[in-house]
This record gives sequence, structure tokens and C-alpha cells, in this order.
Amino acid sequence: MNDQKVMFRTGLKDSIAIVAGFIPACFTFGLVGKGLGLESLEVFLLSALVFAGASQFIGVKMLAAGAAAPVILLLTLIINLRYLFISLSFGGQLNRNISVLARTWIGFSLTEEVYAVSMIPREGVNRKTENEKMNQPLGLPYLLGLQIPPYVANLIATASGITLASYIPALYLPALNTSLYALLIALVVPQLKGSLRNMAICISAAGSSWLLNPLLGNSSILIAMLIGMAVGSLIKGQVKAEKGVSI
Amino acid sequence: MTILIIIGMAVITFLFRFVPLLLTNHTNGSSKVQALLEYLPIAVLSALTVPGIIQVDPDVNLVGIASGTVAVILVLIRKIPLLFVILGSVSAAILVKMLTLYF
Repeated sequence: MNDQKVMFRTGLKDSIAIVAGFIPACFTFGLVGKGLGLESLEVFLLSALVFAGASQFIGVKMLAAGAAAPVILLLTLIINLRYLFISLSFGGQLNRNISVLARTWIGFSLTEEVYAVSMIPREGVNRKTENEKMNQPLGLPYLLGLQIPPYVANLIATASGITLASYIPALYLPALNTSLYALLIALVVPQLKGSLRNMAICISAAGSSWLLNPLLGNSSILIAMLIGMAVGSLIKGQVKAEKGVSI
Repeated sequence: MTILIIIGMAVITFLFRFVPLLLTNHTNGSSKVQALLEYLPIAVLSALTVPGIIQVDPDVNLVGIASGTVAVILVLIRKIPLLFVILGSVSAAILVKMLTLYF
């Protein structure tokens, strides 16, 4: 019991960085949605029901442009297909005893940021077991602590963005949006130090995503991800878990 | 109508995230699939970040580039908490945007 409380607190502590990334981005989302001419309720529901970080922005732009429903849904399918892989990889780390009901919530609130924080080793976070072969499974108390605050922050920040839409100069909105990417950079970069393989995965995935983007648009992420994984499997060597930044 | 589309988007997104969680569990196997999944975090996060941050401001690519560069530099300096990396990176983006507006 005590142990569960400790794990919940660890989750809360780890969520601080995600919350810090979400507040400016979700605030901007509320502003942008209103700025594009959508109803307040529609903007809020996108945040509350879809809850998909970066891809929400694509959804809100298509809705505002009046794209046909099948087009929007098909594009959502393509853009969010990466979650299938993310969830597959994440599911492999979950404790067996987590119930289906709990998995419903965990799945619903599994953003890239939550995935990054729980999967990428950081300083002071040692999930390796004694034999170094496998990680400790992720338990429910930790994940509740990690996933609830970002969702609540998402709701509050989006609502504030919608409310304050007419007071903030629109020119500065894109700059606020960099917060999500800053969080991802902060989690990935420490993994590259001292690991040739991780460096190769990062460069090949980022490079091909950048090159393919003009051709394929947002679905380039998926192909770039597969290229990165293929490159990773070609390079032999121990994946060395470097110590990262502390939260 | 818009609300229905939003619900559709939510259902698609939810199923992608939820269904695999029912199929997988924590195991200590070392199959090839698992080895590949080990490379997934860095691959997908890198692929997402690089064009994303450059295009964050469609008018001025430098906003995203400056913000990303500051994030990388701050991360490489040890012992800076994530929170300050994010704050520093966003501040750099706002600063660059201001400079491009006034000069």
C-alpha cells in the first residue's frame, strides 16, 4: 500500500515536465481553434476527447477549412496510425495485473509525451532489474500519477485559451507551440550520447521525416519511424542507457 | 456535424491506443519484434520532432530552429531540470519571433 503511494507520487513528479509542455501548447490550441472560427464547444471537445497533442492541430485546421468528413477521418487514421506502434511498444512494459478498465484510461491518455517520459531512461530512474535483461513493469499507481495531471492541464489550458482568444496577439502563438517539441528533445537527446545505434536511429528517422515531409505530408512520420527502426536493427552493439536530465 | 466528426476522430485515436494494450503484456522475451520495438521510442519521437519544430511557425522557420537549438544546448548542459529546458526553449522562440517582427 505504501509502495503504491510512493509510485503514485513518483508518477506525479514525472508528470511535471509533461504538464509544463502541455500548458502553453494546449492554451495555444484553444486560441488557434477559436481564431480559425470554430465553436468553443468544438475546440474544447477536440482537446477533451481526442487528446492527441500535435495531431489535434491538424484536425482543427481541417475542420476549420470545412474538409469533408471522410477526408478528415482518413487523415486522422493515417496521422494517428503511429499510436498503434507506440501503444504496442508501451503495452509490452505494462504490469500484467492492470485491469481492462484501467487500460481503457491508460490507452485514452497515452500521448507521445507520456510514452516518452515512461519509456526513456533518465537520471534517478532505474527500471532495469538485476539481470539487466528486462525493465521493471510499469504499474498502475505510477501511470495514474503520470497521466492524470497532463489531461487535467490539457482541459484547463484549452478552456483558458478559448476564453482569452480575443486578447492575445495571434503572431506569437506558433512560438508557444514549441513547448511540446522542447519536451521531446529534452527526453531524446540524452539517449544519443555514447550510443552509436541511438544516434543512427535518431538521424535516419529525423532526416527521412524531414525529407519525405514535402512529398507525403504528415504520414511521413510513420515511414520515417520504420526507416529509423530498420537502421537500428542493422547496427550491432549494446544500447547504452545514458543518464539523462532530471525532472 | 462537426461534433460527429470530432467523435469519429476520438474513436479512431482511442482504438489505436487502446487495442494494442489488450494484446501485450510485460514479458522478458527477446524476440525480433521486441528488439525492433526497443528502437521505436527514439525513431518515432525523432521523426515527429524534426519537421514539426521547423514548421511550427510557417512564416518564420527560424523560430522553431532557434527553439530546438536552445533545447538541445540546455539538455547537453547537465543538471538542468526538464521544466527549465522547456521554458528556455519557448522563451527563445518568442524572442526570435519578436526580433523578426521588429527588425
